[in-house]
Amino acid sequence: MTDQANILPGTLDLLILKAVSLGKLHGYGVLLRIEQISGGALQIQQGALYPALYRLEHKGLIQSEWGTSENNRRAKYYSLTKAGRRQLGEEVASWNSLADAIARALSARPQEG
Amino acid sequence: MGVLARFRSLLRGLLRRSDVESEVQEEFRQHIELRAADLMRDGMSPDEARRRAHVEFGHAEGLRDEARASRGLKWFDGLHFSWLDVKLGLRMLRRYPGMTVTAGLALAFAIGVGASTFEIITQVVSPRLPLDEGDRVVRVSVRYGQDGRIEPETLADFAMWRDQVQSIKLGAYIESYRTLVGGQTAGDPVLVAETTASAFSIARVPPLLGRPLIPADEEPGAPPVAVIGYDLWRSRFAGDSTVVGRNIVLGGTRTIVGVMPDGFGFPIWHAAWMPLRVSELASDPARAPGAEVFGRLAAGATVEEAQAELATVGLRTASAVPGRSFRNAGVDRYALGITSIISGTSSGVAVLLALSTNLLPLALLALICANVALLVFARTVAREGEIVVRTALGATRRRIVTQLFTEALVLGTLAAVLGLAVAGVGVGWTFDVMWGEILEDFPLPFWFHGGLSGPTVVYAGVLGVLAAVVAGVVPALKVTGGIGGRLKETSAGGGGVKLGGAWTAVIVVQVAVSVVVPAVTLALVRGGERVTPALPFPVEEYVGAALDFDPLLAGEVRADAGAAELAARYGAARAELERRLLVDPEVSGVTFSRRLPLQYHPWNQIEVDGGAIEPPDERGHRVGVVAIEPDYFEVLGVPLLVGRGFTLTEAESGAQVAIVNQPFVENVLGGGSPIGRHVRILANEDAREPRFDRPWYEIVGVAPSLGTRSGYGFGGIYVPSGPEPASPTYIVAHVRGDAPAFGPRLQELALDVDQALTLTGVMTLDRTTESDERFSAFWIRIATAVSVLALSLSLAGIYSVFSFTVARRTREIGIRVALGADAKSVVASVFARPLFQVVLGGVLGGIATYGLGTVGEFSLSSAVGVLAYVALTLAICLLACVVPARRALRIEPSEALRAE
Repeated sequence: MTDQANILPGTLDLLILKAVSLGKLHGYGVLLRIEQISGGALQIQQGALYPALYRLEHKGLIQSEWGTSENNRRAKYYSLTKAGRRQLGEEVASWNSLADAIARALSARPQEG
Repeated sequence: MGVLARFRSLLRGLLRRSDVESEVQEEFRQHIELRAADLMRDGMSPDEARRRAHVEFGHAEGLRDEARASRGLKWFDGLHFSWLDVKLGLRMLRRYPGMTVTAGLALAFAIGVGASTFEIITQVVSPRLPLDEGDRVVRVSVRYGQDGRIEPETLADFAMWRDQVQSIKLGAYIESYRTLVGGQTAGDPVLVAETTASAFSIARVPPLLGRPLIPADEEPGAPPVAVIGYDLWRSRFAGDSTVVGRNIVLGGTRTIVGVMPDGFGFPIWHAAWMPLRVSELASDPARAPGAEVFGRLAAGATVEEAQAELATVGLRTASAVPGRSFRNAGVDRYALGITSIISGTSSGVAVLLALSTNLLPLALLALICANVALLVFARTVAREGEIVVRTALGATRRRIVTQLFTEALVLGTLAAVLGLAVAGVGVGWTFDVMWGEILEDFPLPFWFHGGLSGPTVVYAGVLGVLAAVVAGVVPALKVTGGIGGRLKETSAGGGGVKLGGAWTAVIVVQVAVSVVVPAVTLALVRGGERVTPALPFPVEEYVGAALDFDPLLAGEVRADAGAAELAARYGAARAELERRLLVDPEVSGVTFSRRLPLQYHPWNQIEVDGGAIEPPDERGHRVGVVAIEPDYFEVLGVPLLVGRGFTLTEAESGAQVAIVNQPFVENVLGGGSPIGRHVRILANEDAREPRFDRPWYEIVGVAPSLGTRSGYGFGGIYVPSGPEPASPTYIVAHVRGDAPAFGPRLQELALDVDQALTLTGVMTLDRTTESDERFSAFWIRIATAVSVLALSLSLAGIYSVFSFTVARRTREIGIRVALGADAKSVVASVFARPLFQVVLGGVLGGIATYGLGTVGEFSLSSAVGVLAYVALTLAICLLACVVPARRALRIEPSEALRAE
C-alpha cells in the first residue's frame, strides 16, 4: 500500500454508500471494496468504519441482515435502501461539482487572476 | 430524513441494549478474524497476524462508544437510564393503584383524543390513496370554451383522447343512484359507477370473488353485468359466497360477475360498478353525456409531461366541434383533501385551520398533565425522606430527577398504549358519525379509513413523553430544589416544600371545571331525550320512505320530456303505487306527506292575525310546515283534538286552510281556540327575508303533537298538498304484519310500477331519528367521559392536597394536641386553606354554570337549581377530605414527636 491518501473528513459515508451500492457486503467486505475501487489509493482506519456504518443504518440509508460469511461464520451484511440510493445520487452530484470547481480554481493561471 | 428509521433504531438501541452490544462485539471479532486470515495468506505467522489485525482495527472500547453515539444513544447514557428505574416505576404504579388508575386513564384519554385528532386531520388534509403506487393515480380534466362559457369534457372527448394519450392510462365514469332489486334485504338506492373496465387495472385491486369488469363488457351487445362492493355484498346478500352468476335488477337486469374486497370504493365511494359503453354513448358527440376522467401515469411519465401531452391532444379534440376552443388541461392528485372537496381549492389557510385543530387536544393534555403533576407532586413529597437519604449517600439531583422522570415515563407509556387503542376505535367511529353529519349528501370516500398510520403512533409516543416531562420532571425539580439545605436540618418532615400559587390555581380551576362539565353533560343528555318524544300512534307499525322520481334511473340517459309531462308521469306512477299497496293484504293504509314525523323539518317564520304571545327573539315564531294528504291523520289513526280535517276538494285545489298542532297553540297563541284565526308564512330556511305579500291560511283544526321537529320546538302547521304531487315526497304505509320486513316488497312494487320511481331511507317510523340520536349519542359519550374524568381527577387532586397537608404538618398537629388543643379545632385550622380553595372553585364553577345556563339552551338557568347542584358537587369533593382528616385526628402526640 504505497502513496495512500488519507480520506477527507465527511467522505467516508459517501464511499461506504458507493461500496454498498455495488452489492451486499459485510463490514470487512466494505473496507476491501473501497480499497479495490480506489485502486488502493484511499486508506481508512479500519475500526472507524463501524461507527459510520451504524450512523448510516440509523439514518435509514443502509439496512443490515445476518448471513453466513466466506469463513462460514455469522456475519452482518449491509445493503442500500431506497433512501440511501437517493442520497448517494445527490452526494455524488454535489461532490463532482465541488471537485470540478476546486480543480478549476487550482488550474487558474496568473493572468486570469 | 428517515424519522421513522431513526425512531426504530433508537427504540431498538434502548430496549434491546444487550443484543445490540453483543452484535457489535461479534462484528468487531469477525472483522479482526477475516483481516488476520488475509494477513496469514500473505505469509504472516498466526500470532503475528492476529496482533497486527488488532492494531490495525484500533481501540475497540472507544469504537464501541462511538458506535453508541452514532445511534443517538449517547444522550441517554448520560441520563443513566436503566431498567432498574423502570422496574421501580412499575412498582410505584402498583403501590398507588388509585393514583395509577386515575392519572393513567386521564392521560390515556387525552393522548387518545390527541392521536385520533392527529390521524383524522392528517387524513383529511393530505389523504393517501390506499392503492399500489396510489400517488401515480391522477384526476384528469380538460376544459373547453364555447360562446364564452366554460364547458367540461364529455364522453365523446374521452373516447378520442383514450387512443391518443400515451403518458396516462385513462378511464372514465358516470355515477348515479340506482335501486337494486334481487338481494335478500331492501335498502337505499346504491351509488353506481358506470365505468370503463380500465378502472380496475388502474386501481390494481383484485376482486374478492369472481372477476372485475373487462374491456369486452363495454362492447355493444355484450351481456349486461355488474361488480358489487363488499359492503353491498354483506348487507344485501348476507355475504353469500355463491353470489357470482346471480341476476339482479340494477338499471335493468344484469348478472353479478364479481365482488370487490372490503374498503374498495374506487373511483370515490362507489358501491357497485357497471360497464360504461363508451362507443355507444359517444356515438353522437352533441348528445354525449359529461364524464369524470381519471388515469394512472404510465411508467416513467411525470405529471408535467402528461399535462403537456394532454394539452396537445385537447387542442386537437377541440377542433372536432365547430365553435369550440381549448381552455386548459389539468392532471391533479387523485385523493383530494377535504379542504379541496369543500372549498374547491387547497388553500393554505384552510389547511392551516385544519392543522390548528390539533391544538385543542394539546390544550386538554396540558390541563390534564397539570393535574397529574399535582398528584405526582403530593406523592413525591411523601417520599422526601427517601430522596434526602439518597442525596446524603451521594446521588446527584440529575440522577434523582431522572429516576422520577422514568417513573412518570412508565405511566406515560402505558397511557400512550391505551390511548392508541382508544384512538384506533375512535377514528373510524368519528368518521362514521361526523361525516354523515357534515356532508350528508356524500358517503365517505374510500381512502379515509379507521386505522392509525405510523406518524400517528409516533405522535402518541411523543405525547406520552411530553406528559411524562410535565407530570414527572416538574414536580421532581420542585421537590429536589434546595434539598442540600434540608440535609442540614434534623428532620425531613416536608417542612421545606410548599404548595405554591400555581398548584392552588390548579386546584381551584379543577374544582370549577368539575362543577361545570357535568352540568353541560346533563343538559346535553336532557336535550338528547327531547329529540324523541313519544308519539300517539304505534310508530313501529308504519313504514316510511322518500319517494323520488328520476328518469335517469330508468336507464333513460337524457330526459327530453318537458316538466309537465314528467309531473304527469310521476303523478300517475304514485297513484298506481298507492292503488297496488291498498290491495295488498298486509297494508291497511297509505298516505303521502312532505316530511315524516320526528324528521327534521325546515323552519318557517310565521305571523298570526290578531297577535300571538311574545316570540323568543326578533325573528318571530318559527315552526315546521308540512304539506299532507287529506287522509293523513286517518291513516296514522290519530283523531284531531278540535275542528276538522281537510276535504278532498281543498286538497286538490290547494285551498288556503291549515291545521295547527297542540304545541303551536300553546307556544305561539298561548292557549285558547285557534279555529277561524289566520296564519301566514313570512320566510323560511331558504328565503330568510320576510315577505308580507304571502297568503293567509285559515286555521280549521288542531292536531296533537306528531313530531314536527324544527329545531325551534315542536310547533307545526299542516297544509293541503295541492294539485301537483311534489317530488320528493314521503310515502307512509301502515303495515298489519311484520313492518320491517315489508321494505323489500315496497321497493319491488315501486320499481314494478315505474323504473324511474326510487325509494330512499325505507324504514319503520320508530327509526326516523336514528342518525340524529347517533350524533347526539356521540357527543354525549364524549361529554360523559370528560365529566367522569374531570370529577375523578378533581377528587384525586383534592385528596392529594389534603394528604400532603397532613403529612407536612404531622408534627405541628401532634405538638398542638400535646399542648392541650382540641383535636377537631386543630384539624379545622389545618384544613382551612385547602377547604377555602375547594369552596372557591365550587363558587366559580357555579357562577360559570349559571352563566352558561342563561346563554345556552340549558335547563339549568334557575339559580336555586344551580345552587343545589353546586352544593352536591362540593359535597362529593369534600368526601375526598374524609380519609386525610381521619388520619390527622388519629395522630398521637408521642408518635408525631418521634416522627422522622
